Amino acid sequence: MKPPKFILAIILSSLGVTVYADTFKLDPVHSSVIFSIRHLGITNFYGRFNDVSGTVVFDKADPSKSSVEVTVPVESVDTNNEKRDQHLKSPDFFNAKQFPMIIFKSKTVEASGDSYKVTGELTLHGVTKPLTLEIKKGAEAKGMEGEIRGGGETRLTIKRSDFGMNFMQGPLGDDVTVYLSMEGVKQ
Amino acid sequence: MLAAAVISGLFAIAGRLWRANSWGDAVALALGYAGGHVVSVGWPAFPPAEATQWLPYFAILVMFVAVLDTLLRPAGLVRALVWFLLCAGILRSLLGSKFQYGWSPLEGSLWIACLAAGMLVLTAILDRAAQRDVSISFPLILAIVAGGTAVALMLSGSMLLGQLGFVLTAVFGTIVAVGFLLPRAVPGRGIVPVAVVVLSGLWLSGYFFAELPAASALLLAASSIPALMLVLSDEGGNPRRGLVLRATVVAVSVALAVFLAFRASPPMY
Repeated sequence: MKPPKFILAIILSSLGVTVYADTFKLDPVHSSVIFSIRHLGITNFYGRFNDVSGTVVFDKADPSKSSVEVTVPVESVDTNNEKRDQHLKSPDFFNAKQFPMIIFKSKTVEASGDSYKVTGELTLHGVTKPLTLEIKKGAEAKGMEGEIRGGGETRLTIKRSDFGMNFMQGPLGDDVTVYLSMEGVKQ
Repeated sequence: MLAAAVISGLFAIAGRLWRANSWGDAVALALGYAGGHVVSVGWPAFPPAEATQWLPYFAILVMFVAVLDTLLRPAGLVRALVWFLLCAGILRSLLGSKFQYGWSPLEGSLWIACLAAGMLVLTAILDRAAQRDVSISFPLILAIVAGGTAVALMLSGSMLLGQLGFVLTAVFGTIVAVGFLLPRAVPGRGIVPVAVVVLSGLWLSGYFFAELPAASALLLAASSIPALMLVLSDEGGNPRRGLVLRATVVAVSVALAVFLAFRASPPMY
């Protein structure tokens, strides 16, 4: 006779094995990374990264067993001006040839009301710094092919100088606001 | 650039007044560049994350090596071996990200070995010329090369790298000016290792991390050699004519390198 599923779950859970966690692979077509920065102190201009990948492991029952990993290739930066994009990829800013990826890896996840407080490390421009994201979970729904989709989004502000991106401080602001919206397909 | 000029000027004058001929300019070059770098782009992180952040540290490290070299005068083979290994270590740090994201260990080792050998050859040629050339033409040649490097780097799409090139140009320019004003002393050969490390660091950063064409980088690296060959073959000639000839020879190859960088440069927005 097979043991009931919930008994198996309790046993595995007590062994530290995540039982109810769902793994979502980020869908780059429906995920967005948008940033804004002050220009000449006048107003913000916006740019985006056209590529994003990553994995979100989400355990509704025990959020501490969840994890978030997001990777953004710097080459995909797009500010609606090809020449400016090239300059952004140069050693003056992102230094894309030396540091081709922006990576966030979570260390802890905890529920915080409607949101999840995700603490981890952001590696940008070769510098790794601790960062806490307040991710607001979105809904789950079925996609066109019957696949389960889920997601969440967050907004954060970082200082580019914290990551060694000091070029043109003044004409360009130090604070960069990043909007990260993630939609993933359940694996 | 002003900070670089002031710092290098003070040390170059002090070196001449104290008759520290063999290494006075090495100290002026290393501290002038490091000071100018810090004032221009801020304190480099330690350990450095970016290739260019290594340059002030390496300038100071190599300054000590240059001072020791001029004081101890080790045998030629030992000197070459130590310098080759030091260059390989410097290149491994500068190009560390290429090992992480691009090169296999074998490919990377070959690159490092070839580049270190190139730095060794350039150092040997400059060193030989520095021993013969007691005029200001030696730092003048390096100033022209550094100026061309700065312009080519700026054209390669990085104003930051260009700015560092101009810092180096300001240092060499100041050493030339001090040598002109205090002609009783001579530039020392100690300047060579520091110059080779900082210039190579800028060329390699431009080639690997910006859009500096390989032909430009190679031309800049080789541009001083014909002029220094003239130094070796021009002993006893008219000093002023020799100076103009050497400066012209180096300026022509530097101008060609800048032209190639201009043709390949990304358009500004």
